[in-house]
Amino acid sequence: MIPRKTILLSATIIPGFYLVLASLFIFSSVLPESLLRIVGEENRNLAILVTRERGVLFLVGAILLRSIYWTSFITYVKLLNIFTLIVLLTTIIEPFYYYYTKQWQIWVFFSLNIIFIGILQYERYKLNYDESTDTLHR
Amino acid sequence: MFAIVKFKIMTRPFYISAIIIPLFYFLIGLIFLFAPEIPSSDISPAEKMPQIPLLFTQEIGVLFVVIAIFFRQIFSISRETYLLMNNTFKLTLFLLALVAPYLYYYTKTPQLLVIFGINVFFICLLQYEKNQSKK
Repeated sequence: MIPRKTILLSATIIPGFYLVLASLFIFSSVLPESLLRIVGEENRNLAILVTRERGVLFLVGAILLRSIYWTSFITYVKLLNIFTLIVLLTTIIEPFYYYYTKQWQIWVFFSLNIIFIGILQYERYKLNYDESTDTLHR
Repeated sequence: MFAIVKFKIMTRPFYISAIIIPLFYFLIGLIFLFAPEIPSSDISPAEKMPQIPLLFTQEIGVLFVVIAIFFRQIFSISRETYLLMNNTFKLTLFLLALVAPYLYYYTKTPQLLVIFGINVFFICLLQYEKNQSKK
């Protein structure tokens, strides 16, 4: 049973958030400050370089997530648990970052990722996808 | 019986890119995650720069693993969606490929050009598979 396409909050705010984050990482030269604390001011170029690479990777993640939703709604729904795992993986890094950089902003990202996990799981629960019969009960 | 098997094979096309692209990024991700000293020492020349903090290298490793999971899971769940997303995959690989010459400009590490070449090969492979599926 292929459902009528509905708007999922996660398919908008998660790629949106990571797109904004990626834009900041790629185009801002202010953000590598946390990295500069560790590598030192003399390595500013290196810090910007690594930050931009991270930005590109966030951008790739955002594009992939949004494209799946655009291409196939049912595949997106089937992948909700995988998205949860992926967001969880990126969340786990944040406390490690805090340990080294002691920046409070990291906890904001951590909290946002937890909210994203909540939204993804709520949508999965709401759509009630049955794996055994490959059906969405709505 | 043979006809049914053949029909099933025909309806479930096999794409080599769905194996080698996730495998490549998964292996790179594992190296970045569990042996971050290797890529860090490649990127930062010893006489000019200190080692990039290993944490940042490990985060890049996590993001590579995430990309591998994306590729593989889309293929596992729906091969039709995998084929429909062919252009998106090419765009993402193009973006990943662009990072390598940018890093090379600053670090002059030859391994980055190898990675660039591999990404270009992946883009060609995806284009080839798209052309094959049209036939």
